[in-house]
Amino acid sequence: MFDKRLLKNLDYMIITVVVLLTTISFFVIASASPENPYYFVKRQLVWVVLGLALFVLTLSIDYHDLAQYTKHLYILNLILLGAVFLFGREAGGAQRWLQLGPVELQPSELAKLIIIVTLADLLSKRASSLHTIRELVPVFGHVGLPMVLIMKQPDLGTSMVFIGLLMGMLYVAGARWQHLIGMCGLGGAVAPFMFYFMEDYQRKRILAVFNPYIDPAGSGYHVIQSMIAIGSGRAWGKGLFGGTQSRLGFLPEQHTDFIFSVIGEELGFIRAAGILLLYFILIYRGIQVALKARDDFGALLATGVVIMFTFHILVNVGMTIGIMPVTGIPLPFMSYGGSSYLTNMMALGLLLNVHMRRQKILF
Amino acid sequence: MGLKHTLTAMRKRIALFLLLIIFCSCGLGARLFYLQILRSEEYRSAALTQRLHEIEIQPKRGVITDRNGKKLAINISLDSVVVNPRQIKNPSEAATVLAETLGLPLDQVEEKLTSDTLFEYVARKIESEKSKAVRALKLDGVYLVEESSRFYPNGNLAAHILGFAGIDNQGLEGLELVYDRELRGTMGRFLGETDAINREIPGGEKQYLPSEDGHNLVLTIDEVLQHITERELDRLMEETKAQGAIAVISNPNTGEILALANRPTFDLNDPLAVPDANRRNLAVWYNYEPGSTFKIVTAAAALEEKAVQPNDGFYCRGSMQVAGHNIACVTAHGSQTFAEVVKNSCNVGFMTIGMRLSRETFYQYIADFGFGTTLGSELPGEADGILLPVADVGPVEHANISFGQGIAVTPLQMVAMTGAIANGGLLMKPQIVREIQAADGTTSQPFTPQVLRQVVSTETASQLCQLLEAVVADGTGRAAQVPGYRLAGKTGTAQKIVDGRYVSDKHVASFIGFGPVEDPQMVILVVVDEPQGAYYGGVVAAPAFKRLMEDSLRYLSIPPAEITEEEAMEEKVQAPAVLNLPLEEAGKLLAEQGFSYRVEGEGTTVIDQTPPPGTTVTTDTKIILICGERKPAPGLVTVPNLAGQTMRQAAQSLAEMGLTLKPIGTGLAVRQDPLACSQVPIGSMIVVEFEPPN
Repeated sequence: MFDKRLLKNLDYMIITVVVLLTTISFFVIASASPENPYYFVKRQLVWVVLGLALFVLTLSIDYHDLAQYTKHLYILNLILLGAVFLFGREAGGAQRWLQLGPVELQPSELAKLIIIVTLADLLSKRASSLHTIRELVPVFGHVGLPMVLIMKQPDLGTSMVFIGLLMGMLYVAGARWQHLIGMCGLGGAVAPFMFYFMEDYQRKRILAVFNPYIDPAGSGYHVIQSMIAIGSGRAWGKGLFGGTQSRLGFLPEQHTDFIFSVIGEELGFIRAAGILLLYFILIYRGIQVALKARDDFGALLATGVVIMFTFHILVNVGMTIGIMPVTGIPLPFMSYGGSSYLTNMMALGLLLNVHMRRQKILF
Repeated sequence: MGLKHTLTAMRKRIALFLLLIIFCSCGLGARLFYLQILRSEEYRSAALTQRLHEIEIQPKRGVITDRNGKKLAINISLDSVVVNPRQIKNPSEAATVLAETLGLPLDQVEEKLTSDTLFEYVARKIESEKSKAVRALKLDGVYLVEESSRFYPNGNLAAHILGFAGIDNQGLEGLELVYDRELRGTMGRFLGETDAINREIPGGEKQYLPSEDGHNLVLTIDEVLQHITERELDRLMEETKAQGAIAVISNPNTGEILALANRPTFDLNDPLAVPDANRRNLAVWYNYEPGSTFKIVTAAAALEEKAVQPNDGFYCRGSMQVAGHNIACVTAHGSQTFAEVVKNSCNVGFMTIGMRLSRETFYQYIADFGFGTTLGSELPGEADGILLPVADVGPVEHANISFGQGIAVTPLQMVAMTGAIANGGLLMKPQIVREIQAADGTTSQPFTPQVLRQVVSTETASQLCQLLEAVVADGTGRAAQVPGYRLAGKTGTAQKIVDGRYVSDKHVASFIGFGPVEDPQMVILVVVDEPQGAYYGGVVAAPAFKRLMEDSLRYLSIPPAEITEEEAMEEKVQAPAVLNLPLEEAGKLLAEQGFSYRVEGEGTTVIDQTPPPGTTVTTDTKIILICGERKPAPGLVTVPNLAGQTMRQAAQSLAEMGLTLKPIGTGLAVRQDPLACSQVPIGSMIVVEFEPPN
């Protein structure tokens, strides 16, 4: 499939971190599903195996070859998101899932990956011409089109990831920071209007960040319960499978979006901080990959993946400790969920792909 | 810019990224530290509070039984409908079916179902059919919770005694209120760890405090006597169309109340359906002017003070001058012994003996008999009665009180006082609770009879007993006779005071008595408030007393007195009832039974008869039938024909109608004014001329 010598260039630190996180996730998911501890663990195992396969696949294709298919990928992305819009299954007030045979896919997850690849390609080609607003417009259009479809679902969390990717990658690609700050300022000015057009539940969730006790039984409920769970974990935690808030039904979504609350409660501050450290290592090494990338495309790809991971970790953990709004953003390699795990494994594949091929192999 | 150049620029920017990420990671770590270390105690207790759930364990409320263990107040279990609004999927639809099933207003149910809580009562303690219907609906988030509810199996029996308990089984009135603490028991508690939907966590922390069931209350009431009393009051109300009525049966030897009932009354299982006034326990609360029944006190005091002997002579001219005021008697009784004064209920005689006592002495007896203060029975709402301050009692007041005017008493006070005469002079504390039993049946607090004080000597009491026996045997209380038994008693008729003045058309008729005289077992008081038509105690209340006494004696298996041979010789029968019959038919009926009769008045229907129906009479008694088209208007009576009667007979006849006799001459009546059959206001004076027979 590929040159065995490339394997020497793999970043085994990153792999170790991901293996550790995945291993921990099995225990935490088991603990977070007291009714039937192995149900989600077994299913997650399947996703992990599938994810591994996709990881190897992503790794094996030279990322330079991806550049040739960016148009196809971009169109596939639009088709999938359009399909969700037309035929998607609705759950919890949002239309996010697409039934493909026996599996349910969340195209917005894949969309993040596709936009990283296509945007990296676009930016690497225009790296030297991103100095005026006019030059930025096509880039915004490129990201904006799929983003509108995602916002329509609605999926606020993923939309925000898109904005993060756009801003971060533009900055790295050389856009003027003044322009980006201006954009953000404009976004800030538009925010109140956005707020006005938001769904009621989204508005409440954002308000709940500032004061969850505004509506403790409603939109603030998740945040309050999560903070109680984490806070009551104290330094050393209540022990795995010993969490009371998470295992007694007080904490909602404890095996998916609020998995970090279970970590905080059962494993305590010391271990939760340790897990945050693992994530930091992942990101740190990811940045190293971006720094060492052989070319613009590789650097931008790695940057995109790092931004995606960073964004997910910050927003997810921030949400469980009450400093970010509740958006349905999972914690990479930890939360239960197929689409998310597969996406993250492919992103990891991309990252290591860039790293592995950082040097020209001399024959 | 070359490729190399852009890549270098990118790397710089990526490195800057690292700084940002380090900064953010530190932020996360700091926040985590803040939550898990700095504020951990706060969150730990918040978590515990959420899990710890207190479940109250309701104790069983004690039952109330009569003296023989018959249950008067029990507990039944009924379902209440509760909802968890969060679990209801379609509130408006659920509200519609629930409201329809329960028969409740839709908006009320909808409000409960959409409230932002986890628990709401939709309906408390519903009937079992409704609860079945609700169960069949199988609505999510709608639950049936079993609750214990107070139930009174006999409806209105002893309603004013028992009082009732509210929706939360809290005593609200009557003994349910007075003994609420004992009946209620102690709430149990279960403090345990529960999950988010309040399920107990196995192996979780728990604390259990068992509930303690309430004590049972055993009353002095006898359910059968109470039934008899309720029945007689219903009959009395039906017959007299009175405003109200009261009857009390008490054991004079112990002060125990055996039965006590009032009209109007209420259904204990639906107590709020009637006006509040219906729930007043008139027997302890009602202040009324006792009239002649109070003469028992005057007689007792005078006998005890040796101010009078049974054979002392009195002369009644029909009125008496007291401090310049002319105070009338019902009639001019002429020359009488004190025994006859009692028998005839002569006001003049009682004023005379009352005045022989100093007002202080008289007042001392009144107070000693328990008037003017509460007696300390456990029944709530006991009133003091109304006594003029002794300093305000002038000769006129003194004279009035001697025959029961110008003083207000409660039925319970009258019962206690009469009990003291019946039992040999001891004022007993009226008691309603016999004992309080622990839920397991062991007695925890027995009530023993309590003597408040010796008011008069045994001799005085027994002397008075005999005088009062004569009232029933041969005086104003003949209608109270029960064949075969020696009974004693006193009638009473008082005008009511409205706006501070006596009114002639509103009366309180009463009869108080006890028996058997040789060994009194029961004191019975019957009070009728504002009877329509006949209003004399001897006519209205005495027959009810008689029926109560007769049935009670039979129920208690109290044997009749030994009959003397002389009495046995005389054939005694009850006067037949011919009231409201056409005259012809009445005559025929009386003739069949061997009675002779005389017709008074004009008309075709018998509107009154003397002696009244049920009175024990000898077969040679002449029955007087008073005819008219209809009963006279309230406040008016038909003047009887007195021609040929002796003065005493005439006085008696008139007294029965509520009229006063003003006699002229002696002998047999020959003329009268107003004439027979004319209608006159009650209390009018009839001038009758008597001439010696040829």
